Amino acid sequence: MKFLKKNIYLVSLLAALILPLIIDRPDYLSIFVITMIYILLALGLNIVVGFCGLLALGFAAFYGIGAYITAILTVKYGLTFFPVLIFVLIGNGLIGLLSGLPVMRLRGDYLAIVTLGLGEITRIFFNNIEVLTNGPKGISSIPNPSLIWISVKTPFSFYYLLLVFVVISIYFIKNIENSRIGRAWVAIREDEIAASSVGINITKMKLYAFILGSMLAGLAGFLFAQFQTFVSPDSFTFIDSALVLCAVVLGGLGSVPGVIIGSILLTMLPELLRDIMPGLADYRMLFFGLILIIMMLFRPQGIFKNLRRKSELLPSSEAVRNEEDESLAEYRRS
Amino acid sequence: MAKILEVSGLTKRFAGLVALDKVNLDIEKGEIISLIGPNGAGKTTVFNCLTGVYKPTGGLINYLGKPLDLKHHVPHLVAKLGIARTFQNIRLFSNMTVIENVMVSSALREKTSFLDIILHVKGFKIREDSIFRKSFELLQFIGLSDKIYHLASNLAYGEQRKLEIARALATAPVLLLLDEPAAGMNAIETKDLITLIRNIRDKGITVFLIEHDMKMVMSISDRVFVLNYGKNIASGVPSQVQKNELVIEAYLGEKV
Ligand SMILES: Nc1ncnc2c1ncn2[C@@H]1O[C@H](COP(=O)(O)OP(=O)(O)OP(=O)(O)O)[C@@H](O)[C@H]1O
Ligand SMILES: [Mg+2]
Repeated sequence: MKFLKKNIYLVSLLAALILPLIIDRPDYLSIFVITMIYILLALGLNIVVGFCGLLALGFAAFYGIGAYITAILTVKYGLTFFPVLIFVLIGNGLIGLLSGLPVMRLRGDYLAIVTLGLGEITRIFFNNIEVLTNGPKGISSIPNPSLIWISVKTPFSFYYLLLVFVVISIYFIKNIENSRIGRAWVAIREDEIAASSVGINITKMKLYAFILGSMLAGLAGFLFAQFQTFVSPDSFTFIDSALVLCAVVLGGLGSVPGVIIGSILLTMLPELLRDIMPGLADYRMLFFGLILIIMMLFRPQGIFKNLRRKSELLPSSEAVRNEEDESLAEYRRS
Repeated sequence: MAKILEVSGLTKRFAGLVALDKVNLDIEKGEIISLIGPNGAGKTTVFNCLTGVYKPTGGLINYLGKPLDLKHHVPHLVAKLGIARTFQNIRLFSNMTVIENVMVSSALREKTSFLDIILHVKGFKIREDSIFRKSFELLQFIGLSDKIYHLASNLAYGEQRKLEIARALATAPVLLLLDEPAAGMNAIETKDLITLIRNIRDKGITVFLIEHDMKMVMSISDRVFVLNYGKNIASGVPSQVQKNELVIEAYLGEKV
């Protein structure tokens, strides 16, 4: 048990690696691919909402921008995987910065409404700038990626491609979370005035959060476009933003393992339901709404409590005392 | 002695209300200075104007011999210049642990580059360790090193006040502003606090203090400034201020 706890990421990775070998059904693997795309989205939104405490709606706009950049560059300009990836990351980073600038002074409800508006404007833009986006018809026949020597076509190979990106993203996010930047984000969430009084540049840190969140969403869009081989404005609606937010809240605001679990539950459960009771799938949104209400009532901190909050329960327990002793001993030794 | 802070004509208006009216202050290096006055006199407003939480309506602030640029007067730059503070209504990062609260501000003097952070190279580990160690040493100094993994919100009231001081010290300040640090403390805790403040001064940090506990003010301060209705009414060494007619009047017979 202790081994499992300490190596939760390693164990999950091993499980994720062998999963397609056990369940080798293209329809299931496609669901897993979509699940991982949502994990990327939820990881990105978690930086903004969970770490930094900024309730931003309309996150699907960043997702859509990543997907459209990919569609346009591959279909119209014939660019390949890695150059497009770089354009997406830079483009989404810039969009994150630009959309962050005007909302820096907003908080709470105001921020939520303005970001919701920005999200809708983006969708309307996808619908109406026909020369670029092909309007409501969308852009089709996006080529599958071919990486130097392998071409990624089947859900099986897409699964592993996604897994690589998810693992790299988690690695970077964990590194940032456990650094001065991660601590600054949480400090801002806890108390902005106190955070600025100890030298944290609030605007800069919030912009970092927007930029990184947008880059992750762009990455998700980049992979989504190539997996579906088709993008249209319908894939980036408010409902999609709400779904990602739902995954973050369900899993646990600010907890990386939490938002991963949240995304898995929210993308897989409806599919399971579809198998069991086909009619029920139509009530997907109702089901999400219900989950959110139930969570808010009974477990507002999410399935996984943010570790920084989790320690709340521990001080009196053996575990933490041991940990304290260990770190003190370590400290004295050095 | 070198002047650390010289405030002249500091004025702050809030729609109609003059909270500070041409306030003058001066603080020399290594002093412990107190700012007193009845409730609503404008003491906290002085701190907020000094630290950039409020933009002063008028006046000059000379810090280390140079005037502060009041156009670009924002808290995080003030912290960088070496002015740290605590808050009258405790403002800790409640859902972070004690050590993390201090580590947040230790990072001000130990910037790790973004590339180091995402790649977790060796330099990152070294800096992170040094941030942890500095924070831990400060908590030892302040007397909270046995609670580093407790949540800040789970500390007792007096401990929370001390943690705020540790967090302020972690920015390596030249000047430390304490807003009613003894509020809510019992007699024993207040005695410890007095020792702590003296120890802080002995580290070479100048202390500027707002306090209602007159016994503490009179025993610890080198000099005292008194405000009433946003105006200076007296200043000087504690024994002088105690005898001042205006001060006694301001406190309406309250024993000073
Ligand atoms: N942001 C603000 N907006 C409007 N008025 C304010 C603001 N901040 C302070 N004031 C007013 O300025 C005056 C001085 O307040 P301040 O908090 O500085 O008093 P204080 O001396 O710290 O009092 P206390 O001993 O009660 O802490 C008060 O009348 C207060 O209501
Ligand atoms: Mg006050």
